[in-house]
Amino acid sequence: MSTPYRQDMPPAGGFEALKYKRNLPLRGPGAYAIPGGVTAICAFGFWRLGKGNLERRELEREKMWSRIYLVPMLMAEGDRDMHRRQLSEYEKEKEIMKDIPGWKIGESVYSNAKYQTREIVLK
Amino acid sequence: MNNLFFIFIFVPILAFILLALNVLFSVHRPDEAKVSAYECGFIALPGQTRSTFQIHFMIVALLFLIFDLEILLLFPLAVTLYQVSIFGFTIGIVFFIVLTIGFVLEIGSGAISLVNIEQSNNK
Amino acid sequence: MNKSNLIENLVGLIFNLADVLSIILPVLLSVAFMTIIERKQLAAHQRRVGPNTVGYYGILQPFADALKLILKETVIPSQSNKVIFYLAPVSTLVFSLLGWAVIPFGQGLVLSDLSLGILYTLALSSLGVYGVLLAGWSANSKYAFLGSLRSTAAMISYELILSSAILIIILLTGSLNYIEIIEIQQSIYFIVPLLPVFIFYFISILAETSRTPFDLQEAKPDLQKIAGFFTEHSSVPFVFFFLGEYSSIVLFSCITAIFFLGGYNFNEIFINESIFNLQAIILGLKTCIFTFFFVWFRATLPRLRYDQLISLCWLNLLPVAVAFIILIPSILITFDISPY
Repeated sequence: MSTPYRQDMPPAGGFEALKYKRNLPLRGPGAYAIPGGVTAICAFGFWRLGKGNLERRELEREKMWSRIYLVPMLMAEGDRDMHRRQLSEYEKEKEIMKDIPGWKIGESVYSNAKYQTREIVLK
Repeated sequence: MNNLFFIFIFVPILAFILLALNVLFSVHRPDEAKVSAYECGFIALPGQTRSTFQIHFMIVALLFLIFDLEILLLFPLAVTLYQVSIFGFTIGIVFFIVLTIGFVLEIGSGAISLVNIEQSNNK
Repeated sequence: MNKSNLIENLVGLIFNLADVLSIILPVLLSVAFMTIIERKQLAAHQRRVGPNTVGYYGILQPFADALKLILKETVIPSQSNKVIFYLAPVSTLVFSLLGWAVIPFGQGLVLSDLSLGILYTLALSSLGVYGVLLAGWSANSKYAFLGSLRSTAAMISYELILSSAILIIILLTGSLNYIEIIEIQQSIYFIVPLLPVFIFYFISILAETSRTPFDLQEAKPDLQKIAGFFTEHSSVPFVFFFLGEYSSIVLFSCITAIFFLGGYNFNEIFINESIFNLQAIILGLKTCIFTFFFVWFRATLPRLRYDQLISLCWLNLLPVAVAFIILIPSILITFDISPY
């Protein structure tokens, strides 16, 4: 038994202590950082959205005013068209009623002499 | 014939074509064991399939009805918030708060639980 | 005069057919490829290769699956109600596919530009619950019925949260029109001011389509050898449920991209002046982001038990939704930024 042997012994100074307790380190942004970050992102989002919505209101206002300013021109165009049709109807009426005495062409049914835009188109 | 109308006709026709393909191309050999109900080896009694079910499902459906209608009734407020501004918003909030009181009652009374909280409290 | 009227109607009909086909055929293709994408992506998350035998890299796999399922026998259980048994999966697929009629793929490029597009989508998602309910009811077996009841209760509970999130989005835009929502997002994509809303909206979408972490009904084969409400449905009815589920996944991803990421617009990169519809590619890429999230959630998260699912909705998410429904219009009115 004098051959040299080597036993499996613990290292000099013994083993280190086993870590058996739980090790769940708290990492990441804290409890104030996450809601604070989300609030900051949402606030920035609402600010951009608010600017966009105010811009849309101005665009809508511009659209409405341009339509308001266009109304007289469109009315005049409609009036010209109806007047032209009215004159052609008077011509047809003159042709149809030429034998009847005492017929005034284009006689208005109203006693008022105000000009009224025609709204009915006869074929 | 609108596009939407056409797709309402087209998609069911597509589904029925697929069903028809299956009826055409597949074999149809009904066997007694194949067409019986699947119950892990037990024999399905025809009277027990439409048995009673737990009241929990009925309560979930009823509460869904109430809260879904509440949210649907808030849709007009959402669409016209600019026009009704503070006044309309206040009225909508009053409506919503009344229903939220009911919601608090529902959570507190334990209506949404498969196992009844009141039973386990009494025991 | 009668004959020219007839020819006019016929030409209109052909254009209608072309419009509808140009939406439905790519949608069906995308649904088919969604199945193979999901399998390949799940495989990638799990460090394996998905199906790669059928075509190049497995591309023809969905067509092989569809052909196989068409050629299989449809077993109708003897005690089921036959009419409802066939109609329930058909209605699931039909209501999923009908939702594509209001999705805009470009400025005004939509099958029908309803002023109430969002109401149409909400109505269809509510009607889709009927397919699930009738499927379990018609199969006339205890387990299918119970599975369908649970699926239905889960779907209608999360539909409340979905409606709340959509209500909040409509508060930020002034209208229910999809194109209007996309136009308003030119200032800021809605995911930035509505980040918490996006979170509970995405949870409710996962539950609406019965995906993990809410798919206990479909995962039951792993646990219990019963497949939930479609136990008794084989071959083509099963194909309809399958296609309907994936079609609603792609549809809801698209709707999420429209609501939160600005749809087909990407004004910082380019503004399209040509006649080629390049904006649809942008919508497609944004949809792909969300379908990626769907599959990623499936690969990562464990499932919820049914009562955990219901209590998550009614006790945790619905108060948050109620809080945001009161908060957001308060912000809009306080700073006077409500949309016209």
